[in-house]
Amino acid sequence: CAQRTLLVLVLCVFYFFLSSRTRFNVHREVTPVELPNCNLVKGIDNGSEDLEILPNGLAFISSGLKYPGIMSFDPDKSGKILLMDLNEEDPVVLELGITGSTFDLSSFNPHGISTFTDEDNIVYLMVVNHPDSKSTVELFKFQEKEKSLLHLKTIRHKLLPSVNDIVAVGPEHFYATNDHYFIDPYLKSWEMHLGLAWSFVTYYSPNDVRVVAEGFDFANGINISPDGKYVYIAELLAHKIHVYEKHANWTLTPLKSLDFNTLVDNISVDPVTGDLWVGCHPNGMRIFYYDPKNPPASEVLRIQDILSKEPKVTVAYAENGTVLQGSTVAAVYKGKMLVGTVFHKALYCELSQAN
Amino acid sequence: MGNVLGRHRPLEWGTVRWCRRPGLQRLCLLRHGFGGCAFTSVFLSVFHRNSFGAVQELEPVEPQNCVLIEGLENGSEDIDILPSGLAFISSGLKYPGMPNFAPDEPGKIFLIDMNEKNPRAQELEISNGFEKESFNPHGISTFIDKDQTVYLYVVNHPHMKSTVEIFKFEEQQRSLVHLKTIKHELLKSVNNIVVLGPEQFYATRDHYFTNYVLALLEMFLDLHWTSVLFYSPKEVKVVAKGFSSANGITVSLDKKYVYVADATAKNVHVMEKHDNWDLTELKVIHLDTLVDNLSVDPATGDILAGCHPNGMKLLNYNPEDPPGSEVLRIQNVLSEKPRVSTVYTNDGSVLQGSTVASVYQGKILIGTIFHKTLYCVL
Repeated sequence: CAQRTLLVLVLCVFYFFLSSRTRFNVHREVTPVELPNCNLVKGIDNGSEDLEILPNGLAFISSGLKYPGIMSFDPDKSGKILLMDLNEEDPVVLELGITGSTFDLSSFNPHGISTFTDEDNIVYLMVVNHPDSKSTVELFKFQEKEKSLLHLKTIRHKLLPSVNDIVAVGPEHFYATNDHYFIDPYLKSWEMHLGLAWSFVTYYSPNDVRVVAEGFDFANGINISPDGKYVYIAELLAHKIHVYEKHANWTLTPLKSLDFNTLVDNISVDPVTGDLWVGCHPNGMRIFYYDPKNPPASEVLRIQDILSKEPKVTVAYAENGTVLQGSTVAAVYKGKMLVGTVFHKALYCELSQAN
Repeated sequence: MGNVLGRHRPLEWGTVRWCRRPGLQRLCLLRHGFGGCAFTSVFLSVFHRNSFGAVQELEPVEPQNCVLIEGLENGSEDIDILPSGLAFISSGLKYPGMPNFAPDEPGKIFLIDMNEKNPRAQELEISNGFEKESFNPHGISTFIDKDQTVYLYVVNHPHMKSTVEIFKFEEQQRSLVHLKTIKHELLKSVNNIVVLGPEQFYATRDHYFTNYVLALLEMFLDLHWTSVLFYSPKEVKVVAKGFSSANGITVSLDKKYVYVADATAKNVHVMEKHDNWDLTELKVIHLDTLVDNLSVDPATGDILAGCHPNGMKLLNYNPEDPPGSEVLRIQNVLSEKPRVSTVYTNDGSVLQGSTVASVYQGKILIGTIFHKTLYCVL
């Protein structure tokens, strides 16, 4: 019996080693795709994991994420939300002050973000937070004049065990991706390495919270089409983007999936064209097992006409990690593109004529 | 009253349905690939979000007169009550993967007099140069020798290792005098003990691996590599093997049978004890809930089991969705059809993570891994 079990163990280890190589895309190397005028954003050195650009050109950036198993250049510093006005010629980064008596700034560990603008043009910012490795969604009101965020509420729920990203669909309503089923970091590690694919998506509202999609191998970025009819979900370790139809009762039904040769992280949607801009990790091994001598590369994909029979996918930017390490997100505004990373810097580029 | 089986309801939110049903294995293979599926299947059969005790929306069973014991809010993992009604309680366990609400405090042993009308918990002082800062008590067992001296044996995990500490109980001073630390290379990952003679005890090992990462894998793969040991100054030997996770252990009133709880196999093994201390299996009682510690009702010989109805909620602790508690009574243990009844259940709103229940003259004391302690008059 012991011999048999040992054999099973060996087979298991061998098997999951093989599948890991696919899931982490270890063999991928990057063919560079440059853009004419790219500059690193001054003042961002500790990550810019998620960003969102409002229609008026103001960009929110979450910075300083500490994620178990992932690099952080300054793990003792608490995270921040940064602001950039992309209407400026050379936009500078400003740290947004956070007010609100009950909010614990010292444990602020921001991850995915999403904005919601109500009928009175008040901008709400929802931020996935990981205080002490837990998961909450913080609701803030953006105070434009004061350049600050007023903390309104902390949302916790049993169906939000390990939140990665969110997309707001109401003032206190959102879809959230849970990249893991487990909460404990050791269990999360086993969950990922064994490829259990227990990651799931939750719909949250004050009165109704439920799982709307499940069985993902690390659900990561999530966003919504400009008409609100389709929800896009990035499945990091399956290298897929799923398109779901959103129904009136908030349920999601799968419509189609696109495959890629890269690990897809966050998704931004161009409000005018509906194009998807995706921050990617060409070689996942380099992100999960950081080696400064072989840093993780950066890649941005643009997907046009995603609902058509043949969506057009182009590599908008790709770089082997010398300039920018570990891209997670990219968003565009008036011919410019802002690219964020998990733990490194941020890049601001002019898009070429072709783009 | 009645059998606890058949109370399960499916979880209100979805599970990976395809991999569970044998007929849909092919779909599962396509969706996840063989590797993911293989592990999902093995893991699910043990830790199944449905059958790893997903007794959601459990009907509460609560005796009328229950109170939480003040001062015992940081766990009461094991309890042993003397024939005189004095109850020893181990508290403050730090176990990998389990929450602890007072991580900077060392563990303690408490005493409760079950004869009192409103019993209070009193911390027992430990003397004789014992290293208190690293005291991390787990299972306990009392032993009364021929001259009526009371000894308390405690499974200890100083710096996450395993030892068995022997204390002498000084009744008048209400203190424990440390006598000896027992270490042995076979005494690894010890969970509980039952003492049957001076320095003679059976001990359960709940994991084969001492490394936490490997212990998790051991659990996911359900290797059944845990065992029961017999320890004595003259000989130390493995007396039973092949348990999924051997946990609670106790002895029948006539000392002829040893009862062993196999937590993740959700059953209790009834073992016959031989003169040379060897154990042979007589029968297995299935309980459909994760079984932690066992005690024997001194009045009837019934087994009382502290259980975890939803193991996944324990493993994946989330204060927003806490684990519940369950205490079962097994009557007619040796008969063809032992009778299992529910003594107590709670969804976690009152008591989280019950591990043990001991009775004394119509009263019951229920302990938990890391939460509060309940006292009820039955």
